[in-house]
Amino acid sequence: MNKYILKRLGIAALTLLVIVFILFMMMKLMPGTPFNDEKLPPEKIASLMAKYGLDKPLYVQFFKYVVNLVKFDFGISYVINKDISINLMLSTRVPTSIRIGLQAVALGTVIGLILGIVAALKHNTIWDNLTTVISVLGVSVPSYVFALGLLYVFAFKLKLFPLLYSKVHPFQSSLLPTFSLSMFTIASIARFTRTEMLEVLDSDYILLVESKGISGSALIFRHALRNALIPIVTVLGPLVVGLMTGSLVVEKIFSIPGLGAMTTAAIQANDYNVTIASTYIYSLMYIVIMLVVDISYGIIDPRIRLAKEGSGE
Amino acid sequence: MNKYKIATDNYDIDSIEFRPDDFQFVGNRPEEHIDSTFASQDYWKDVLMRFRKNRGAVIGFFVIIIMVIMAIVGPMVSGYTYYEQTIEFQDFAPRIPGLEKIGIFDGTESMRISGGSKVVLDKYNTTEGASDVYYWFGTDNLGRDIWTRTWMGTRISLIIAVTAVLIDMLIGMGYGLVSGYFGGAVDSVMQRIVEVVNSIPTLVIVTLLMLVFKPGLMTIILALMISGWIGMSRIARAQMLKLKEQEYILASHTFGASNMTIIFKEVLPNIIGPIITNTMFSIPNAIFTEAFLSFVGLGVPAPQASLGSLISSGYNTFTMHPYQILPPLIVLALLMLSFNMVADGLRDALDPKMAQM
Amino acid sequence: MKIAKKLSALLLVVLMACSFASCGGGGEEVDNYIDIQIFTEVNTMDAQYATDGTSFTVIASCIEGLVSMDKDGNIIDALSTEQEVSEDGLTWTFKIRDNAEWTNGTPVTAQDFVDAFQKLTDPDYNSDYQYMSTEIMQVKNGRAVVDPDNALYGKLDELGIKAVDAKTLVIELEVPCPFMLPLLLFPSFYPRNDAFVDPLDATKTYGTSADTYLSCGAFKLTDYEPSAETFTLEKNEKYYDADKVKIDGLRYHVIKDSQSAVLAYENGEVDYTVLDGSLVDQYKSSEEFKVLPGSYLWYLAFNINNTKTFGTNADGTCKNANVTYLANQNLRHAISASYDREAIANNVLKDGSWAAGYIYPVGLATGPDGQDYRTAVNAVTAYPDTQYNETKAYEFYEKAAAELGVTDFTFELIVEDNEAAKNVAAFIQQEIAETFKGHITVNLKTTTKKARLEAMNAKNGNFEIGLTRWGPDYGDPMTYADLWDYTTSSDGLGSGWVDDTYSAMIKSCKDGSLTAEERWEVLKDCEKYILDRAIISPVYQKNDASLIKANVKGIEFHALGLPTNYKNAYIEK
Repeated sequence: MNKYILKRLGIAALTLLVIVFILFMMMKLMPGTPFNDEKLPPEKIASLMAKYGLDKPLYVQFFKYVVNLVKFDFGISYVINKDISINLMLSTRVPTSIRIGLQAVALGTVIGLILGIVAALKHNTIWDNLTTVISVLGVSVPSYVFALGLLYVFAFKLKLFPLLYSKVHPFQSSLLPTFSLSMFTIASIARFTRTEMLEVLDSDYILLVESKGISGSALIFRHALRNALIPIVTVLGPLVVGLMTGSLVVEKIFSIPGLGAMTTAAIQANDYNVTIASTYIYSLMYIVIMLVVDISYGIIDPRIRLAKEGSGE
Repeated sequence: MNKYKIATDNYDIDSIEFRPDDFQFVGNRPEEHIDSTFASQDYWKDVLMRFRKNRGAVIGFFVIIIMVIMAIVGPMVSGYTYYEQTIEFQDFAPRIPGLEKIGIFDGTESMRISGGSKVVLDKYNTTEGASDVYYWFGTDNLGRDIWTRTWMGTRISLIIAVTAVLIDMLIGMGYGLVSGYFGGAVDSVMQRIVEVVNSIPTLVIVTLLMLVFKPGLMTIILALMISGWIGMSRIARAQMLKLKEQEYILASHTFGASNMTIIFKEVLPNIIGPIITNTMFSIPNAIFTEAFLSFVGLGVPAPQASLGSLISSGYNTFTMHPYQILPPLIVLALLMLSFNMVADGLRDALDPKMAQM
Repeated sequence: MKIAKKLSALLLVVLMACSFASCGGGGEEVDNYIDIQIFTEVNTMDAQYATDGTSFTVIASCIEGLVSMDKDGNIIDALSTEQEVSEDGLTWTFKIRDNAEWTNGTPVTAQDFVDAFQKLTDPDYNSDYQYMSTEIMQVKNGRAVVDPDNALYGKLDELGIKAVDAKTLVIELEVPCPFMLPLLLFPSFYPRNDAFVDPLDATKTYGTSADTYLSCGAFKLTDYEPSAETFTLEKNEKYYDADKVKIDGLRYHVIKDSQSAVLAYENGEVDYTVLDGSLVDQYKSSEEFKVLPGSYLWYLAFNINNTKTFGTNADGTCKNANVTYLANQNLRHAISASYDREAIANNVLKDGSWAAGYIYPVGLATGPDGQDYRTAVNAVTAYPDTQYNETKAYEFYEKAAAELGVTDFTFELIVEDNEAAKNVAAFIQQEIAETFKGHITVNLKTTTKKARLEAMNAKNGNFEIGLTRWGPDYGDPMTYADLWDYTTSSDGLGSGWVDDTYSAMIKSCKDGSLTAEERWEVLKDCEKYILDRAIISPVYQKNDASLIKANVKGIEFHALGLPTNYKNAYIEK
């Protein structure tokens, strides 16, 4: 088991390095320097490049950058917050994004599970159809469309929620973005839970449990749901990551001071350092989540670990 | 003998009487008792039959057909081009001949002006030379016909859908099959590559690419090529791993079949089901990626239109002229919905085990 | 099954709880703060380092300059109470206000301005607006201090700005500056307390929070972080004029999307927002609707002979044939006369912008005769070839076609990713196609603003035609005129046009050899020189359509110089 975890960690670290390299090369290919402004003469741009060491050979820049990344030192922003340390910028934004992301996952999982279970228990009824409609809508309609709709109906027309994110009321003002982000999670989880529950409910051991006289909530939660949950854990990982990218637009719509809004701004402004830093954090989160899913899955179900070790994974 | 005796002690056979209400008339429902028996049927006929039973999927299929027809014919029938601007005719509400007489789509729009009062505008009759003009879906802020633009946008979304299928089929499937078939070091290296590509958020890759290259349809397709095939390659690889140990593959080997023959002639036909299903699911993803790019302003260049860019510019005025955002939004939602329903239906039809669920 | 019912009930409860939790979250509370929508985050709070309008507005609310501007545009006292200029116009003496102090209690002194000017000019500090002191104000020894080949390089003490005593500041200039006082409104010249700033600057934390920033103006930072989406400025009780400040503070909200901004405005979450032109029809009859004067000029730039990217043929012409064609003056005139500027302003933009057949914007500068430049020089009569005229455009095209021996042209027009600019470009595209009956066509290329600037700068010249803009740095036509002088360093615009006559004209305006009246006439000639040759094709002067709540009064807007001033704003109860 330890060997398996170590191996997974090593691969993850290598993956991260390759990602940093690719990002670095892409940024170098991007049109323009970070210092484009109609007011800046070319000599000035050259002297700014020299100031930030961007005139050095590529491999020197890359090596320096990787060393700093390992130390979690992202350097300073060139454009969107001139000369200010990126760590300082991230320090408030990452927690906000993670909090809203977790809220969305939590909400999405709870509602998704409830819908999925209801649909499976009331198979082929109006409830089942309703769940199917919700889950198809959830995966079909882009989250920014939900965001716009929710914003218009609940914040503008009904005035139930504030329109803009506010640091004073972080929970209330994050509910609409949470909802719009969680639609996809709700849909996927509901769909998956329904299928898994139907399969489990149909299985022989549930028949056995029923024949022992267990029924009602004990049957559902202790026996059926527990078995259905294992595969659901696997879809949760990618869903969490999907949320992060969804936040790129939703954060812009609701004016949330998060990582997604900063990333979009940085990409559009050619702010190399900030773009690499935020993409690095996204990738890091993704790799960590996948790692956790992989390892915990290995712990839950030894067959998987053995199979993977066997096939050279 | 003893047993018999006991039995006869308890039951007196002669005493059992049959009363009329002991039996119920089962009714004239013979189908309940007849097993469905099939003449030996082609697998695909079977699939088709199951697919046809799924109402949602069939509706979705027809919606897609209609959309394809509209994407081809739509821009030609209105008499306007997608780029033609008539600045005097800007922001006209929808007006359709025939329907206008019953009070809908009559070219009027009510606008809530500040202060809460509502005014009804009829730009067709207040603008010089517009009284005989018909814009079925209205016009945008430059006086372009939204009908034509919506269907041009649909055309682009569908082109992207076809591309997504090709990418899935050519890159994703090939990659997965090869990786799964050869296994060992080849598989290891190929899977590392997948892991790396997959770990960078897709939208970030795509956005960066759009900045490096000239924004446009070709770049969007390129961006899809970079990250769109991952899901399919996984499915194909998993299927290959499952099948490659089977005896008939071994048999092919012994007969001296080449690797390529085995991969594409022996294994592929047997895993076509999951592959088709996954392809269908990747279409909505691709369409969404394009819509997202357009929404952040990196889509197809003007005066071309895509559904995403139409939604994005319609959003700027959706409180004032809702008819500008609705057509592309509805078409996009319908397309995504239909592709998802068809994909669902196909999955159930190709894998009957799922259909019973 | 019961379970299902229970679960659905639970779902309902969760939803209800969520919506109840949020009640009272709407921004209807009445307080004495003004809520302001801005489109971008504050870039930096460092006055000597800032370059963008949003940063300048917020900085100017926190720090004052030597002089200020009243609501009618007259220069008034601010941190200086007396301004004197010597007879030769080369030495300015300022008396610093006695009761001015920073938020940490230290008094504002003449040394604070010396610190500011030195930082702005310091070659190591690398401020983007260094040229404001060395080239525009032309502070004595300024050019020498930033010239690596000069003996005075880096010797900031040699700069012509001295604190004679704590409250007396003397600025010496190389040549008289006819617009010295308006120039001092520019935030780059605002004071800076180095004793406080320098230690923070070393750790890159200056101006990143309320604790790391000093104010001496009407407001102070209370709640701020780098590129915050919302932040608050509170009334500064230590401000010398604090009695006149009637509001408790300002709350800023970054809303990048104009539709969301308008919804927030209608919901009462912001009091002041800039309105997108497409929404103007809905609000233009409202008393809350105002068109605020702007001064950005948007124009089409032509690549006339910048071959840096495309390369040259043996005969010196550009390898990109289109660039060679654009070197033809008649072709440029043809394009310039082919599209309807009035329609762009009134039908496409609708935000109160003006059609511009000129270069120096309305309201930019007042001449020695006391008249606004644009009142004195009527663009329509002065530059008839720059005005919209389809027949004339076609004649120009026919001449150009005959001269070049080519009948059909296709150009690429580069435009930034901004809804208004994209609409204008699409409109021009269509107008050109119609005017020339398809003989001249234009394809659009949309990129981010940064990428457009990169393509269009002098170093690259990787464009054919570009829709671009320029905002004035100071109230003098020179801020536009020297853009096309290839000898000055500030040619951010890569037309590749080289003309020594023009450069000589610009030079004569800068070296102090002309009287104010003569200089003014030369500046008029400069505008004519550019437009007669159609070096650019001006399109429109941008104004801002805005919504300001009816009970919010006294916000002072200026087209240039001082950023929006909230000092005298108040909320009517």
